Amino acid sequence: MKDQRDGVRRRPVSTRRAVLLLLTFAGCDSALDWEPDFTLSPPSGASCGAGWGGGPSSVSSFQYVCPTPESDAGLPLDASALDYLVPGSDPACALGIYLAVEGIPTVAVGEPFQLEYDEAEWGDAAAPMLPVEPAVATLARSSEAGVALLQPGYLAFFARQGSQVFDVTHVLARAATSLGLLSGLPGGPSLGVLPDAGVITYQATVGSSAQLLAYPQADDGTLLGGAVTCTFASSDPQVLAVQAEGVVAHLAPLAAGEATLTAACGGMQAMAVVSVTGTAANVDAAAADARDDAGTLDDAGTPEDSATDARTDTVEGPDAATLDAEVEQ
Amino acid sequence: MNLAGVAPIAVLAMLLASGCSSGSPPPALTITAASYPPLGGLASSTASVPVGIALELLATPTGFGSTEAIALRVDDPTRASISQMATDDQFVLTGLAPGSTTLRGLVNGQEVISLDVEVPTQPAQP
Repeated sequence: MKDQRDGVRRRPVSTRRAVLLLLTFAGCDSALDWEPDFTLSPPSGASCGAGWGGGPSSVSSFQYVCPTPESDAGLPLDASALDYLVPGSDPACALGIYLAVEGIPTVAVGEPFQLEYDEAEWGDAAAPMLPVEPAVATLARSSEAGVALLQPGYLAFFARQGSQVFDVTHVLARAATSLGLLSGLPGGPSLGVLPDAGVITYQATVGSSAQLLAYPQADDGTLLGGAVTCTFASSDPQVLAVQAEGVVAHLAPLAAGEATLTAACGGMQAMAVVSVTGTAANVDAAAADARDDAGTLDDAGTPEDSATDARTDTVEGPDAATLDAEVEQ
Repeated sequence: MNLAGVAPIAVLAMLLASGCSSGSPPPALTITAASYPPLGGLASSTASVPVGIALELLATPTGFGSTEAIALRVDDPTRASISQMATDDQFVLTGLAPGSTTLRGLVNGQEVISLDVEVPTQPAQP
């Protein structure tokens, strides 16, 4: 099957943008009140930035490896929205927080995450990654998805080189008590933290687009990292189309009306009531905007086979509702 | 130049410099914390490493020759573990199970220091 994203040129998440994200979020909610001391690593394992400087080498660092997005479905959205959230199954990665700050990452109890250790010295990009293992094996569970901490609290991790411990760090696990929602509101330049689990309501305009992040949170609202499986569903896909990519949902308001978006992750659920206003005129305007942004898109294509196509359908007519209503269940 | 009379003076100077005078400190091993874990730490004669926490230690010998072999050991390896790090004088002490044990520092096979090690459970997370 062809990768439906082939036609979309996406800008990588940069450190600068991650910093901007942090600045954007700062003070909005305690969800971001954590202290990651890792750098973000993409699925390829390559490092995205200079790491935590506590290791024996000035550039050695622990790397928090972000899982590959679970879905490569088409994106019925303006490509610029991809700058906000990085699709995948780990909400910490979706926000790119690890790029920007140092500290101790906070993950959900029982949810897997992956660590690597980059031993690279200056100018030695080919240095191997060192294996990282929990300092107390009985307090963690290892699987293909990574390591999950079995109880709340800190756990040390060792980067080993043979029998020696090369470097040490700690990860904090906390119990997830509810599901938080973080949304890129249509038409707004910044993301907003939606209220805690429960029903929230916000307005959307036909032809606009938005992203929504579902994340496990501790009882004080702290966002918890670790890979989780989420589903998103729209009560009326003809009003609000939803496509899921891990913990990120792409929303496309298609027609005036009201739809309830339900997010479910790890046995927790949160809902958002989306009130969609506007008419086809909005759709036409959105289509015009899309044409203006064509420089960021590689392939307008035909409606049948690409993400760009789905996006085009979304802004061209009501039939798109059925095309874009593939909700991960 | 006649060096015949110089050598004994140089040897004496070396002996003095190497701590052979009566004023030199006795051989000792100083253990200091080399990291700041989120919990626990090292006090004057006690180390606290809650279960799951790792504390990096630096062991610095003084008053020995130039070929010290430093080793740290714990009496009860079910309570805490000690691992060698990348350099000979760096170690990491890890809390494994609640209780207490003793950390012993050895230089050239001879015990020169001991520390009480407390391994508490971690406080409940908020």
